[in-house]
Amino acid sequence: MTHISSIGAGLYSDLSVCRDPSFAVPATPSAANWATFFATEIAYSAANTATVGEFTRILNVREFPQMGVPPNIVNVPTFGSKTSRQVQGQADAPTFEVTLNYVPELWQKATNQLGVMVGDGNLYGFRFALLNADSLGGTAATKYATVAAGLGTVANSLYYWAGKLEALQINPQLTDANTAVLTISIQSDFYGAFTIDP
Amino acid sequence: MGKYLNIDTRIFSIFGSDAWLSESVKTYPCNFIKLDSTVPYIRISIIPSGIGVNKNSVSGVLIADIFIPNGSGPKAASTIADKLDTHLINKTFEIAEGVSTQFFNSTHSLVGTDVDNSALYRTTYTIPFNYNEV
Repeated sequence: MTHISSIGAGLYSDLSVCRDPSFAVPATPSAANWATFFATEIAYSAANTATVGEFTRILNVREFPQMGVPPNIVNVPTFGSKTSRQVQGQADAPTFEVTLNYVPELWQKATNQLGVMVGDGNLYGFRFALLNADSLGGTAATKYATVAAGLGTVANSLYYWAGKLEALQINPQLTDANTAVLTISIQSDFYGAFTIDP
Repeated sequence: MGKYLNIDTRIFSIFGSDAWLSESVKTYPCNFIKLDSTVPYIRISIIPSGIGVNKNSVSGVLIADIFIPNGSGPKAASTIADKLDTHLINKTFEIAEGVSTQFFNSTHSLVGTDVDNSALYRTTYTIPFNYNEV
């Protein structure tokens, strides 16, 4: 499918992280080049390997933050004018904090677990997929991959960036689900919106 | 076609699809005189009574009254509610370019013995939806 063309809620929106430890932002950050990092889904408990294209979906997301770089508008006084002018300054890198319904097993600090990546200082590729409908892909490994038979089966809008999994803060609850805040630092521009066609 | 007729047409078509017919649950729209009283069956009411995000859009709720034999326990009703979930929950139905109906999460409540027919037990399956038009 192509970009989402109707108004609607992003019920199936997805955040994924590329598990390749040698990840680097593509020299030409095109949709096709970014897509190569998100070709095969692997489990939380799978080992990080140098295999390009392996990614893991970050599950149980409860709330996404705003996407993209916030504006940094600077007011510039203008002599002889009643109002100042505004110019776009260099924006501060946003803090990308994702609220999760916390499932400790998924974030355990053990060999080969995704939890090991939190605070390891390595650069990873991230993909946010805005999805109003669930992927119709029939194969588990590619259902949410940036391939025609995966996200290409439904209307999708994709955003990519490089970042680090900086911290996971647990927020125990007594009357609601336990939550956690996953903080991702932004180490590149945001690229998108792209889409994957069938 | 206006938005209300669009909603009726698209949602009722779900219950006319092969996928739903294969569930073997007799389904009737509201305000329809059914030809037999075989139970279980469900009665669908579409209530587009909420505010939309623009003048072409509206939110609402789909109510499915589920009728099962009185005195047979709740399992049959829960089974039908689960079937409805399979076909409706979090589903988006494109009607045309830029026109869609999107369902959210459902609830299922036990009402009790049907006031019109004491041989029936009624439960109510409810699921909110948004109809959006660009």
